Amino acid sequence: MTSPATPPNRPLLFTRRELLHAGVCGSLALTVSGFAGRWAATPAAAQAAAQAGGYTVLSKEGATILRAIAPVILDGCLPADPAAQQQAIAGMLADIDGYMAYLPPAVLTEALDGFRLLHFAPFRALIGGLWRDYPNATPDALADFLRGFRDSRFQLLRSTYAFLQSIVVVAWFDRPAAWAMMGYDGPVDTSGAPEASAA
Amino acid sequence: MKAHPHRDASRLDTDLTLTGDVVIIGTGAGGGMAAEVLALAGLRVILLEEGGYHTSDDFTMREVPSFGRLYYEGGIRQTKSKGLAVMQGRTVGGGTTVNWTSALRMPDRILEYWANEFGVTGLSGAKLAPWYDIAERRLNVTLWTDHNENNLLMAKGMDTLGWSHRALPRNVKDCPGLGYCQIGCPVDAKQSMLVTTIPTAIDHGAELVTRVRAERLEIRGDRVVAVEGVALDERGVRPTGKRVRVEAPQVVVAGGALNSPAVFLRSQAPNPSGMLGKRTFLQIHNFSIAVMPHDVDAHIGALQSVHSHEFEWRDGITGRAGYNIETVGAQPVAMMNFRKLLGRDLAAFATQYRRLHTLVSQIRDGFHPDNPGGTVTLKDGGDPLLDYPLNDYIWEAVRHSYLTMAECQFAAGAETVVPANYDAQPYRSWPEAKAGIAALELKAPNTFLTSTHPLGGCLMGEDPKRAVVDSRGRHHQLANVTVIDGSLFPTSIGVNLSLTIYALAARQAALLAQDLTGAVPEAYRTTAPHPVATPQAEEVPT
Repeated sequence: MTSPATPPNRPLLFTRRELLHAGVCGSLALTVSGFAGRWAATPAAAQAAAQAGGYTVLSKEGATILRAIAPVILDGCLPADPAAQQQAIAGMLADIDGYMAYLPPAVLTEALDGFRLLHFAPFRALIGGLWRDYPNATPDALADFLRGFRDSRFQLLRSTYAFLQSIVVVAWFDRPAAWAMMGYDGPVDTSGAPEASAA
Repeated sequence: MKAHPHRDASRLDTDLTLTGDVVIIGTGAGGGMAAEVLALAGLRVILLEEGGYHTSDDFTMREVPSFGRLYYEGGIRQTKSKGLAVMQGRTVGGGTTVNWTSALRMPDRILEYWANEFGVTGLSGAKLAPWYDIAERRLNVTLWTDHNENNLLMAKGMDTLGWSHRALPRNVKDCPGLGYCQIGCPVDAKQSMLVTTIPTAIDHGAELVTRVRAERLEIRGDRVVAVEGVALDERGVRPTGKRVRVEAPQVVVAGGALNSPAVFLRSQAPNPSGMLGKRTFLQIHNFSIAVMPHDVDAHIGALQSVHSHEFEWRDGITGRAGYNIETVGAQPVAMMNFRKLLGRDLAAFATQYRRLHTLVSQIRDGFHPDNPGGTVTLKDGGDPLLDYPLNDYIWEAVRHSYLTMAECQFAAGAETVVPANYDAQPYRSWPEAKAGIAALELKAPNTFLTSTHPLGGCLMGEDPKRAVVDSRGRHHQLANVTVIDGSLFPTSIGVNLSLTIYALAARQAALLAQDLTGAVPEAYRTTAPHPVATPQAEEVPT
């Protein structure tokens, strides 16, 4: 229970999607676990698939989704030049992969299952409202897709938004290219600093 | 500083069996202090650490790789409801390698509360004072007065409103104020366990094995005969298939909150009180972000050097949750992560970076029947999972602190203030903030919450029917096991945790050394207080 907030002014599309959300409310958890069960790759198979795509743990589905949403989340932050933008995103995906390689198996599996579910066309379209696949979706459609999760009445979907937004933002703002607009100088050079003696 | 001699279990090509006098699980605030005390006492100490041995030689000051390497679950160890992330260090030195060095003593009245409500004995303010003295001396705790602009602004806002605040003591030596405490001090100024007690313990014969998870305690009757561990790979993620077994007549469990309860749960340790894993608290952190009319550069300097207890006891000890207020100075990744913005809104926020002024409130949980704390259970695979319910009791405190933090920030001259909450738009005045925060819907994960202060789960108290360990941390059923870390706290403590864990750990380890060897190392005998000022209610000049 929380204080009531003024309901956001939602367009009709969200209202329809909310109805769809309500329709799958009870089965959402089952849906996730169902997909996980049906498509569950063994850790070894998942790792092989990631490596086939040039990553340590990041799946094809994950890379596809992140590649599509990064320019939308970081609109105004990423370099405008398309080649530079592609290069930045490629670097970000590599860094995200490197970071996810440190996640314990249970947490990694959950993230990869989440990507797999988001990538699954019926879920993507019906729940996400994204009718085209990720590489072909328009920026506006992707923005709506993200906002739909952010504003969902279901915490699971809001947490999904938080995860997607966070992983993209974190990957970009750790890059020196992101720092100029912030006025951040980056890590200091401590090579000449006297080491404080051990106690 | 280079790594001291140790064994890296990820490189084992055969199983390893070690024997000693004491095996210590964990090298954080509790494990580190215990290791030094017991090694100085002449005992053969074996230390097991799940994380890697990362030192200033390899701290990169880059956030993403550091969060992966130095923290449990990449720094985003989520509660069951995914309402918030618990940030716990997983590296030699544990949380002390990645904390912000704020070193405050806990309030006496909470020690009294522990005695009265939980049957804890021997721990009054007077009894603990000499141990605080020892910890402060050992770790070079000194009052910090070189406040950066971020902290001066907090003091200025508080002064304008007549709210009390004081300077923070910090366990640092020759700190140049680089601002990278959270991802490993690159110049060893931070006097963490990594650069103090662990090296000393190793110098006195302690054996450290890293990249090993203490899977379970092998229990026979009322004793633990061995600790069974699994070697992990070079990232500390997957077992390599090699095992590490440690046989020692004394076991110290020092994995910290979530982790220590998980060791006992995995071991199916006796739990007649039913309290194992329960009463886990977080001192939940919520945040208020202001934009100032001038550059603040909160990420430079001592990140946290002012502390306010003004609202700690706003409704007594056991009424609505009190909280403290401190500042946050964040590097880009952490700072941009506070507000889950998209597109142009995110870009605009990024351009404000140098002018950001951020306050954090840490909610004093564990003192009300509506807030009995979270429960730790095991996930598939054995990792701990914390179920911490976020209810009205917590939300009320979050809202109250959003209000007071905003008021403070406007009093300090803020242009805009926004609570770290998806649905909030920056307020341009205190009256607007007051109305906006009152109407704000608070819910997870939209209300951005974290915890860097997990504690509890191995409840301490003299009555075996109500507690897991006694007032010295000795397990009530397992005769040779002592818990020495923050997991034995019955409630949160209203201040940053580390100094209290150091002090309690020193005391517990000294008592254990006395029991096992008949003597206590000289540095850990309680003597007169050391001359450096302990924290006073000192005003910060603005």
